[in-house]
Amino acid sequence: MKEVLLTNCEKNFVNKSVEQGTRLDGRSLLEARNVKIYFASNWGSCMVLLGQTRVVAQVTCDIQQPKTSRPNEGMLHINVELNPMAAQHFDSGRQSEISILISRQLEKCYQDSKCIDLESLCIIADKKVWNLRVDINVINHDGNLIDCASIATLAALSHFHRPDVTSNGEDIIVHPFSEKDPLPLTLYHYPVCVSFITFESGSTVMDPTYLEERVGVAQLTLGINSYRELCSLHFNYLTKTMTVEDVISAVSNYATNYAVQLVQQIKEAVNYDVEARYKKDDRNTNRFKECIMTKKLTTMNSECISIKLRKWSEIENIESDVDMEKKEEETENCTIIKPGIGSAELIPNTNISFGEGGPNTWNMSESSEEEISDVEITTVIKKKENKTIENIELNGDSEEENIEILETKDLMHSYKIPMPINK
Amino acid sequence: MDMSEETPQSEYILRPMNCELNQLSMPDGSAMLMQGNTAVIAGIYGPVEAKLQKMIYDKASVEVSYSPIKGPTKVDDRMTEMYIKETCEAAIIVTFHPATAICINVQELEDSGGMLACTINAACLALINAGIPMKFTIAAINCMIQKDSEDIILDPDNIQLQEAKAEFTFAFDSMDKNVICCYTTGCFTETEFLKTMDRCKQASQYVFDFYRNLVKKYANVI
Amino acid sequence: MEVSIGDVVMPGDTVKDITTITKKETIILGPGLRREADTVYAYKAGVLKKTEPAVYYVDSYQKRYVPNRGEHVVGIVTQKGGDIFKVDIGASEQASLSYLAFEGATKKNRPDIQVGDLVFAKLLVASKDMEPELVCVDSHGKEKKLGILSSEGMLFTCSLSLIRKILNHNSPLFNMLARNQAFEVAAGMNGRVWVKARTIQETIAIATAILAAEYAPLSDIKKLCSDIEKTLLLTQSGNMD
Repeated sequence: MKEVLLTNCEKNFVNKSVEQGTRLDGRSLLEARNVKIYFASNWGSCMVLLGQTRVVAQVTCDIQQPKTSRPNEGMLHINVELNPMAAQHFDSGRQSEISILISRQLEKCYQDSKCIDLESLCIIADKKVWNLRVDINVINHDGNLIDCASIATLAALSHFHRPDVTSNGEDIIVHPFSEKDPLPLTLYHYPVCVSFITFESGSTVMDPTYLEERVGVAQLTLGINSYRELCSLHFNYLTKTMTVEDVISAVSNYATNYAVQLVQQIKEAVNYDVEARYKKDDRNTNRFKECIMTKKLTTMNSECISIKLRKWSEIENIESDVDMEKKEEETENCTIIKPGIGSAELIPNTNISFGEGGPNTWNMSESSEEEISDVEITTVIKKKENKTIENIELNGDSEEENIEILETKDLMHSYKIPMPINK
Repeated sequence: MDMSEETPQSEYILRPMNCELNQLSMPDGSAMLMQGNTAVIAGIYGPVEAKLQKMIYDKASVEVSYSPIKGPTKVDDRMTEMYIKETCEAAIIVTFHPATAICINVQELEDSGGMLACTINAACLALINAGIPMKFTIAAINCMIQKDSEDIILDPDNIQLQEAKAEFTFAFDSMDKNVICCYTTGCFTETEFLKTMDRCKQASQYVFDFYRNLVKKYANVI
Repeated sequence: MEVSIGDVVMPGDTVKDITTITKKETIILGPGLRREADTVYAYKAGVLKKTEPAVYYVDSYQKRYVPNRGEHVVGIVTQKGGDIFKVDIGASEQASLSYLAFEGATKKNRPDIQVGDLVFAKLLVASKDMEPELVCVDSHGKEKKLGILSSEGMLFTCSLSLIRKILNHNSPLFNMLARNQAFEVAAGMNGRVWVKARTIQETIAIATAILAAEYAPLSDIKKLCSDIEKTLLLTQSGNMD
């Protein structure tokens, strides 16, 4: 699919509004969107929301042979995938220009700047080292993918804990998390990327949205760490028609202040989650569950859904073990279940209306694709009780429908069926 | 929202399901679904222009893309894509939008057991959110047979799955509760297979009710 | 599951009220309902509604536009070639708009439209098997409200259900906003809205009001409009200082 064409109307409007100092979402020119970080229940996995832009990062590790040029250092590999759901014009499979750009930015910022202590990842020099792999998946594109990806990478790397390793001479033993506590990575410094877009009029905005990115003329990305050091820099013209004046010196101060503040926020979020994990206290954490906000109109949360099926244990005692047999039991259960709908057996938050049409449609189940297996079972049944012979015909026959009506009438004598059984 | 305590009949419990629709601004329909700790996010674009090679003149072509969270896509992921595609094609009325494409994209967020069932449910919810014409809704349930006790456990998590002798995922339609998709691993007998299929069928009613309640919540306002 | 008017339906539900009508009147099944032999099934999730005399439909939430004949849409001109413009209306296929489908257009006198301009047009032909066609004139050859939209305004997208909500005669949104603001708006049934007001802030305010009306029930719309006006006044007075 192609990207929707940028209209002249949108271009004009964004340029004019930026000239006047307003942005479409009400932010000031050098203001960034809110950052929200959510963690998964395993180490090193997080989802970052930068406004509407959404990125998921996962850090994993495995043991490999080190590079010959660096025999006592671990390895770090960053991979960026633009999921086709992020935007209409993203194609799965091919590495598009944008994904290569983001990959390269992140490599510069995290690998080339040596922010991770790779030597501590060495197990046996020249033979076995930890190989870290950071997988970044962009889920929704609303501008500024690089920043969002860098926040996700930093959060995931700070959050990640690797298994503990002990070596006894030749062998190395990798301890599972239950045996020995996992160890965090050592980060020398914490860099993040901060992006800016410059427009025709010369004004620069920070943290552009999708529309602003398309209208803009030049893009600048700075990688800055919490010590106010510059880790990476990338400047790019998005159009070939004009040049802009010195952007870097104009915004570098703002960028640094923002980066320091952002790193602080990330560190706090990570530390809070790590502590909560050690204390095994799940109450106030920012897990994926919290990402699904309970009070919104389009969310639905249900507690553990417990299904009645009390009588299953009794059914299993019956020898024949035939499905139709069970159905007899279940249909009798229906009269028990129905009053059960409002009962305390089911947790109040769930809306379980079990009796609706449930038993009726079960009769149709035998006409499903498992006809082959049905046939097999009928042979088994024949060897057992005589009682089930009627059922055999039902199972194997394609003309089940007629027989089924009989069946249900027999079984559900007292139970009134609200809807017609067969078409 | 606490996780409820494990009752003595824990095999009859489905894990808590949390879902939010329309979370992503770009896709036409999206759903983030969590079943216990297994989390998945699905985004749908459709009907959109199909590429010439994939265009079918009288039907909509359903394209599925599943992205795992760790590493590049592997053969197993392509198999998951195939299951999702076949299941969704059974449900979508493809003749309503000829020569178009319906792109279903699923991103795994966390796998804590029951991934295939979770992705099929999320895809169905996203299809509902996108307003794609469907003949029926789909509910997928995962269950396993334990090695020693031969108990049938519905919607097991990773820890329970380590003791599994066989694992089943069934997807049912909402109208007649027919089986649309069936995925199994491990060994089991025919009677065990039918038994688990029946339990999953019963459990699927809960998932359909979950969908209905979700739609009821927003349908009158939006 | 069987449903009746006013219920929330899911795909696969059968509508029982319709099948029991045996009178001679024609029943029209609108979007969201389909007929298979004697039963009517819903194929979208939403609320089942009925308008007099016998039109049944499902009101569902949707973002992607599917072309329907006679609807007014806001399109983006993507190509100029031959005798037609190619216009993107947000559907699966691009629509075609002939040069001559404008008021006063002749072969020598072509309309001044560039790639990237916005047009407010009506769908003349729209079916699932054919490429949609647009026109910017009505059957009398008059432009009325159709045609090119100026580049001074702002374009944004929203869901189709929101558009239907605000274009409804009963909706108080535009009336309330119009009491204190001067603005022009073109709302296309394809989910695209073009707004133009006197200043940038006013335009943004009106766009925000329209987008906020998505989740606001009817009773809150009045409050929404007054909030927007208050914020505007504050920012304007702030600017003047």
